[in-house]
Amino acid sequence: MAVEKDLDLLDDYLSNRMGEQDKVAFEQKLEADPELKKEMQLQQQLVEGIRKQRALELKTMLNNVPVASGTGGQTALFTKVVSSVIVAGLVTTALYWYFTDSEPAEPLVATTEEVEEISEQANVSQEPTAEEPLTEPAEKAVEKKSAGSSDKSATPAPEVTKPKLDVYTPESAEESSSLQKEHDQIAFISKAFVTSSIEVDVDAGNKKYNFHYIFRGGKLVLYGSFENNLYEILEFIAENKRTVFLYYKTNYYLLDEQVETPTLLMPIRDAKLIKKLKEHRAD
Amino acid sequence: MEEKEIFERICKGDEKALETLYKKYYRMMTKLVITNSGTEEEARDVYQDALVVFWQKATSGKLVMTSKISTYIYSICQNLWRKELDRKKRLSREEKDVSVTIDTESEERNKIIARCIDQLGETCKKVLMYYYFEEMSMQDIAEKLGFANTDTAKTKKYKCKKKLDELVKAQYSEQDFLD
Repeated sequence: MAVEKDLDLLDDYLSNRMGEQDKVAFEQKLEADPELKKEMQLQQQLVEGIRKQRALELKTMLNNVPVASGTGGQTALFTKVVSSVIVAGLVTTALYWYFTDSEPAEPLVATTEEVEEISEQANVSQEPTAEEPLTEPAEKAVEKKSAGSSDKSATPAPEVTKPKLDVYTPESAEESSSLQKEHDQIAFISKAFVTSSIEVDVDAGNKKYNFHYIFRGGKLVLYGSFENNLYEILEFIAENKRTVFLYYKTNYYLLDEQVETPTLLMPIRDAKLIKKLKEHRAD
Repeated sequence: MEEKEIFERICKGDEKALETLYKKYYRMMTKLVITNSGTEEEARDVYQDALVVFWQKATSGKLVMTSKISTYIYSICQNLWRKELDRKKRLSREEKDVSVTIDTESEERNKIIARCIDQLGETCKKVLMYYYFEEMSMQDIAEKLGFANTDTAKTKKYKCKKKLDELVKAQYSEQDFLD
């Protein structure tokens, strides 16, 4: 029969109340004492039994919680508003391209009063100064990796496709390859599942970066005056790859988790991709 | 309820906060499974399992939240669903293979233990569950169950565990599980 002291230790061991060092010592003791080990096995079954029972109890409790399994009201409303706004966004993009270079110093404001309501996602409150520079895209595909890791950043594909939108393009080769990048995402997101789990920090006070992003320490950091509740993150995950999109006001942005410096956000222009993303947000 | 408040309340073992959280992310989490060849029922099951894992870690004080709760739970759901898909794949491969053995003895033991736990009084069950599953401190158990102090909680736990030991051992020896 195991002594009382050993049984107390055994209880601490099985209930995870033992420090690492004591644990190692106790495991050695178990190996040297077959009787204690046998008792341990029995006690372990009991403890496991209690845990299983409790897990079952909690699940039963959750099963009795009424949940709306249909469509979520908020997101649906959001999407409706968005679809009316997206057209305005595209027009604004074209105009902006016509009048400006790639510098986002004087960003256009996409006027979307309706969008003011909305969305449960964002939890940051910022001054609503609403900039949205609409410049040429330089989106890149991303590998699923924890943010900030630097291997395998996808480079723009060499093939050149015709831009869907008839806009002024200052650097057409780079332009087209980034459009290709966007286009390549369509197949990926068709087979991926979508979520929104990345934590977002907004840095509104940065003088140098006013509509930029970077991934840092697993978080997405957005630079600029992002209006409260107006952005949404869409993560697509498939085959161990993750692609992250930002939806802000009227535009979608493809984010590259490998960027090493704060990078200017540039709206996606591939119409098919936008359509796909819209569908996913509408779900 | 703010995310921080939900988390703090869950850490203290507040089941209402868990229910709130369950409702809050129900759609988001079940969608993950449903859009990945799962049924709504499987989705619910995975989500509930994930919440139970989260709850256990939070109540035992082992969880330091460095990300949003949803991020954390989402990753648990992902893992659980991947495992389930793997299991299904294996099963379909082994379908015709008779070699799938079920450990009847350990199943029988589990049943005995479950029956014995059911024979304990409600308070006893709660004390043991809070102690072994939530891994709450005696102080918290005393507060939650309205005991006068931690000593009462300790004694109660000791007695309840002893009672369970006896019940199980008696059943085991009947079934020859003890030699």
